[in-house]
Amino acid sequence: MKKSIFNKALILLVLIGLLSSCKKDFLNRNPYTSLPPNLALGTEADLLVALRGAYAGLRNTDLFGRTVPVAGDLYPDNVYVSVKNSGRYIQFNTYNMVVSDGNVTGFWNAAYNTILRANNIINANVASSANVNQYKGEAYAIRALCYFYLARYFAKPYTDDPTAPGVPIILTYDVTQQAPRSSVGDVYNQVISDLDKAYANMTKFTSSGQFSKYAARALQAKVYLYMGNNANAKTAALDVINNSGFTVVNTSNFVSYWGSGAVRTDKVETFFEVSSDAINNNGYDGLANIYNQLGYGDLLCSNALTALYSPTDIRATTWLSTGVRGGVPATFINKYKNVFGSADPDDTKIIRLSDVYLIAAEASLPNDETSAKTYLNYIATRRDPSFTGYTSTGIQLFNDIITERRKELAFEGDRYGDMSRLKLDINRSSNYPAIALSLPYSSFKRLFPIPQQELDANKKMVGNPGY
Amino acid sequence: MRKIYFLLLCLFLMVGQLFAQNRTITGKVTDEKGEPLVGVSINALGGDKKVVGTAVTNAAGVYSINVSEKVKGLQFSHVGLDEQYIPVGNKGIINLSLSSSSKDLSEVVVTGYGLQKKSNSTAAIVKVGGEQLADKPYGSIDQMLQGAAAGVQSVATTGQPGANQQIRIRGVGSFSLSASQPLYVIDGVVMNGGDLSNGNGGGFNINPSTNVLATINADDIESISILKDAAATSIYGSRGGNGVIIITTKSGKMGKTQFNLSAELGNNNVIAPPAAGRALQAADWFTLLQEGLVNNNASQTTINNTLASYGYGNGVDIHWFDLVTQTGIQNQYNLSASGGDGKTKYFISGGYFKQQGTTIGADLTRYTGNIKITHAATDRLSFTTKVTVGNVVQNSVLASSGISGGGGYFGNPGYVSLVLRPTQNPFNPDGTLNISGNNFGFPAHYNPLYIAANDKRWLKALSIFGTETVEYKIWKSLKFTSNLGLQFNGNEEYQFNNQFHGDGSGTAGYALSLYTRNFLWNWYNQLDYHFDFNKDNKFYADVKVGYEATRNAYLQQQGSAQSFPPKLDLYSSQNAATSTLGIQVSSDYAFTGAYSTANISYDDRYSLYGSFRRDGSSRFGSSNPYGNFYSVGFAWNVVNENFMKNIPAITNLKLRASYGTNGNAEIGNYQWRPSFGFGYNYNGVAGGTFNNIGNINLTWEQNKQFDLGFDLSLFKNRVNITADYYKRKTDGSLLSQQISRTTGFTGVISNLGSMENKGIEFSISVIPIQTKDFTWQVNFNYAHNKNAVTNLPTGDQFNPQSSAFLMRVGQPFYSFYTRGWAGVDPNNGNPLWYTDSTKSATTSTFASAKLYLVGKSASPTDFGGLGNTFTFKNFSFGIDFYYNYGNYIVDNYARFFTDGSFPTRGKYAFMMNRWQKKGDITNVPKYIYGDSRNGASGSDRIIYKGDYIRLRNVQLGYRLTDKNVLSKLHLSALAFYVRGSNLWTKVYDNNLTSDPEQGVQGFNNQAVAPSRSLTVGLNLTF
Repeated sequence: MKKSIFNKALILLVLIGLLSSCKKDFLNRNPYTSLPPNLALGTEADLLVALRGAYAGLRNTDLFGRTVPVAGDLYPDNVYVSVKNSGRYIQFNTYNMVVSDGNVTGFWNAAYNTILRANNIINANVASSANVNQYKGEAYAIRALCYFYLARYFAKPYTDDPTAPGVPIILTYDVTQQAPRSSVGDVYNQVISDLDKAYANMTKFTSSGQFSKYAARALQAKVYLYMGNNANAKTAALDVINNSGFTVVNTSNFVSYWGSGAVRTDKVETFFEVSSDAINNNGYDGLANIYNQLGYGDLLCSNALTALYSPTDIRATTWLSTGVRGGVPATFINKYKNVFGSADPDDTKIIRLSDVYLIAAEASLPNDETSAKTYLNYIATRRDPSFTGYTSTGIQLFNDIITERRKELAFEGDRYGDMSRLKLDINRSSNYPAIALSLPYSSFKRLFPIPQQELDANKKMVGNPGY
Repeated sequence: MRKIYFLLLCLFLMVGQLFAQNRTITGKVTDEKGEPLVGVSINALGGDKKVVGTAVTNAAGVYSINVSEKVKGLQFSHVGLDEQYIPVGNKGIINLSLSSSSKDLSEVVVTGYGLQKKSNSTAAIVKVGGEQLADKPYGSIDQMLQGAAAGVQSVATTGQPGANQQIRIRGVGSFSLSASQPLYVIDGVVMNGGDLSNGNGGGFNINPSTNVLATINADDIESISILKDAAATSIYGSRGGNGVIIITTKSGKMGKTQFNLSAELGNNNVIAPPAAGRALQAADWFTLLQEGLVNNNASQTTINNTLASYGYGNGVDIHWFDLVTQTGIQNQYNLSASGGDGKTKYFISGGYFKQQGTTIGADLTRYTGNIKITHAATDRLSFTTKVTVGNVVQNSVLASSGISGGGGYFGNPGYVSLVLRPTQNPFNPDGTLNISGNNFGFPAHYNPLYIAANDKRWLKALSIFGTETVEYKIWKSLKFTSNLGLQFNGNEEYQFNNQFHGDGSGTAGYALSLYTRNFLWNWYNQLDYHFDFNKDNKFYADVKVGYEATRNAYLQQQGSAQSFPPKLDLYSSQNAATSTLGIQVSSDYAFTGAYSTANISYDDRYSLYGSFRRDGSSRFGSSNPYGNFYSVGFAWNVVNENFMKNIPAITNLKLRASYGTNGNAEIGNYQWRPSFGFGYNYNGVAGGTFNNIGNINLTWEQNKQFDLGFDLSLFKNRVNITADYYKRKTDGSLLSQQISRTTGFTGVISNLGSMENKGIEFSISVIPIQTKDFTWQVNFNYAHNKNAVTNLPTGDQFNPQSSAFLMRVGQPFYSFYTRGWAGVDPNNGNPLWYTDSTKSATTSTFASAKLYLVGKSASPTDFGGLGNTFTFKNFSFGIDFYYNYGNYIVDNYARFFTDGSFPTRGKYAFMMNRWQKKGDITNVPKYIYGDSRNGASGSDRIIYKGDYIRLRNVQLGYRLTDKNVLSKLHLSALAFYVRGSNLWTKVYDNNLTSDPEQGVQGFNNQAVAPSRSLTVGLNLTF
């Protein structure tokens, strides 16, 4: 009796054992949307996929998706936040900037995240080929773009002090790294070097949604300008103007150019823009939505900027309109017409040929005023048919170039960089809050705060003073 | 139904007559007090346990039944009393008394993977009986747990019917919001609980909150057991860390088929916010506007123009709150049939539940079906099949699900009812809805009436729970159980933003459809062994060994489309011209576990319990895939000691102590894996990136709990007291270890944090008065919990759920971190803040005020329930309160309705107390149009006391007991009731702007307001 009971029990235990002895595989559930990193960057095709991921990183709402271009116009004097608003970017309007600011933190994090994406491509161990070189070249350009903008907002301008603290230069992935700030000069040298490699590596032009050889060169012209190196800026700009095969947007195609949210393949005007399309976009948080009255429409054109355009300027007639918002007369901004839900929401322009002409103009000074005027008027007369061109000289010519930059590149996030590198005080029109009508160049608020989260997590990080 | 009943009756009568020739057994059946029991069903059972004859006791409690030789025994059963089986032998007279089943059932407790004799249990387990759950006007059973058990916090985040309820057992036990929920087990199967629609990795807000428990009919539930301490929960290993809620569904009862029909009808009314939080009407609103403009130094022309542009004096004065709220209907109908014989028992039911919310467009409709059949194939082998099907249709309003959802959505009726101006007229002169874009129309915030009428936002959920249980008694003391559980949830969600007004107008309409499917299987095989050391049933051990495997597969199909034809009826996305999204998302998890428990009892005096479990999970990192969990418990039934025999007042006294470990495995399915992810697309082509830093050491959060308690009953159970002290430590709570952002990542998810909850729980039930006609029973429970973060690797850190809270060692997990409000400067009406936590200086510059821990936490320190039941003859009256004390709530959207930063929006009523002239003492600053002083931004000005008492339930019932009337009606029982729910709420903060119940985080996100219900019900048994 006892024996049979034990036999039964034994059978049962064996049975349970069988049921239980699931394979180790049972607990190994693999994700559907990812691979182990070591399997993801081994081939030319892998690099292409990773490259698109890096471009997508640029589209982050707090990077070129919205915050960076908005800061470039709102923090200085081009646009202000309507009294009737969605609560976004108020701190850029009022200068109530804190060290834990969400947009600034987002900008910092997104820039370094995109740098990581670029680094992974640059450092990938894949045999060289025309395509691989092209992809790596684009990645160099993406990395340069991120460092250029980090330096523009978190560090003193190169033209002020190249030895001032810049931002950490990260070229390889190390999860434990505690990187100190490199000098502004080192950051700019890294940017120039990356753009040199980008220029050398790239052979193809795909569309304005991706970097190409001359897009990198155009960006480099601008970087040289920011370094105060007019000679190199001019060389680079002329290389672009003469050799890229791009044409500027004219009076005739101006309206259609600004009406389209699509990337271009016709080599008209745009060297590089961060693309948003019908599927891959930032939704209601896209750039067009914060400007356009069909979206949030929070940002309005300041009186000072409005006054700069002559009534016949095609930019004013295309980009601006008047109305009333929050009970107050206002100038609406229509530069971005394709809000979320349109067939192709507007992209963020990074570098375009008109900018390069104005760089060439500025870089021609002080030695060659004739060329400067030629390049300046090449753009200015194409925007205002009744304008016959600037004839000024000396400091007035210089100011005219800067004003033309402000008018041409308005709402593209360019203005703040100019005011920084030229060490200009910000004086705002009465549209802005009374407490925030000016921001002298000497103010600590001219630099964004290094985010608190970075200061907390990185013992070698030193914050920007004042915050 | 009547027909079936009649047929069945005939059948039974015929069967009875077949055996009429044989002998007769008679007897009398009484209740515990010796009173005769009428209507007791008597089944004569044959050797194979088949019913071969029936009888019923008469008014004197006497029965007579003819039995054949085949009859081996009689089965006595009666509603509300426990069944008894008496072997007939040669007896001619069988008298007996039946006792109330509640007492008998309480002697067994539901534990993990089985039942246990209550006196032997070493664990802290609370049972909530089915009678407390049946016929309540709540969409899901977790809502009914509020105030029902000590230490169980049940909080709503929204009044949306069908929404997920937040349950915390013995405090917040995890750093993650979703992981702090208890584990739900239904009929032995660990199920997927909570919000399975968009909360499970979705990120969409079609339905801000849904609840898988809302697919279950409370009337199908026998009981809910809440497992609180380690001795109860450790058996669930890596998943039991935040307590376990075991739902047991109803089973058939032996005896003739009994039908039960219940119907409830009523309505739901909104609980309006406190006076301070209502919207200003036109006259006051314009007073503020004008004053604000004057204070902004506007010219008289500007003032006149602005006033005119917002409709000053045009006579329009809309009461928005009244327009977006409604009186909703509340109905439910349930029908069940239960019965069986010695071999087969069954319970079948169907139910219908309909609840309309207090806000336009919010409702829940549920259809349920349930069948449970238990069959004993032989004396040794039995099996149970259970299938529960629930179908839910939930219509939601656009609102937030929490911190990230954004309650300020322009279409959220709760939010827009405050934000819209009283002069924005929702109607055109011809009565149609106004959707114009001027100041009197709806240029930014949409016309909520139009949105509610024309947008769609629904969930259609199908939920199936199936359980197949086989039990085989290998020999008398060794039982083998195999239990296979299946849970299927299909959630179809649809959102349509109409093409004319609102978020869809820019795209000629927009539709999003989601299908979310979860399929879970869970299989455990278990041996139960009862070892009697001396074969005297005095010293014995109950041992359990088992193995369990679970796997879940999640799938979501997402599709969106836009450009609809200009017809509102064509909201199906088939009509749209452009498809903008069409993808499928999947995610799986798996668990395995081997477990064992042993409970050794001696003489009903001493019990020693131990449990061990080894768990593995796909969610644990590759270097750490298995974990071990154990517990020990001890119970001493003092009452059974000899020295207690002389104290007759004490009917029960048991001391309990336990300690054990368990875990919390609610980690993201693939979070530990370093991975290169895809879906980072650009320009319409596929892109990818190194997106998850991973952590191969990632593992469960560990929970260690100590519990000391006693159960005491006095005066023949007229007084029952249970009290517990507990200390619960969470280690290795998931926290993102902050790393330099220059790495490209913000943190590494790691097991870093520690937290402690300690507290006491006390519950008492007393029957102060018990006479023949009148009974008064009081139930009271109280819990005190102290929560504190006990370890953080790098010092103070933001709460991972929200930066509204800062974690600091020694402080509660949900500690508000903000600026300290110092009131309003009487000289100039400026807002003032303390410069820092020393409160030694104030400033009127927002940016100069430092944030600090303001000493306010969102977790209550004390809460519980108080219930009274009075029974007089056939009438009963019940009144239950819930109370909650010690927490704070924050008005997340206050800045839009407070002060002049957003002067063109609606304003709270308390704004009329603003500072107006020098010397005014008030808490509301000077009103300035376009105010840039940030008075209503983050400070503890907008944090309010969350203390409240709510009259949860008032019920007046009548039960018909006249047997003559009942038999004329062919009924065995009939009861009516009238019930009011949430009729009254008392709050303790005069400035409070909303209902005090705002989820465990205390975030007022302008969700659907809670409801007050009035219902009448009827309950028939036949």
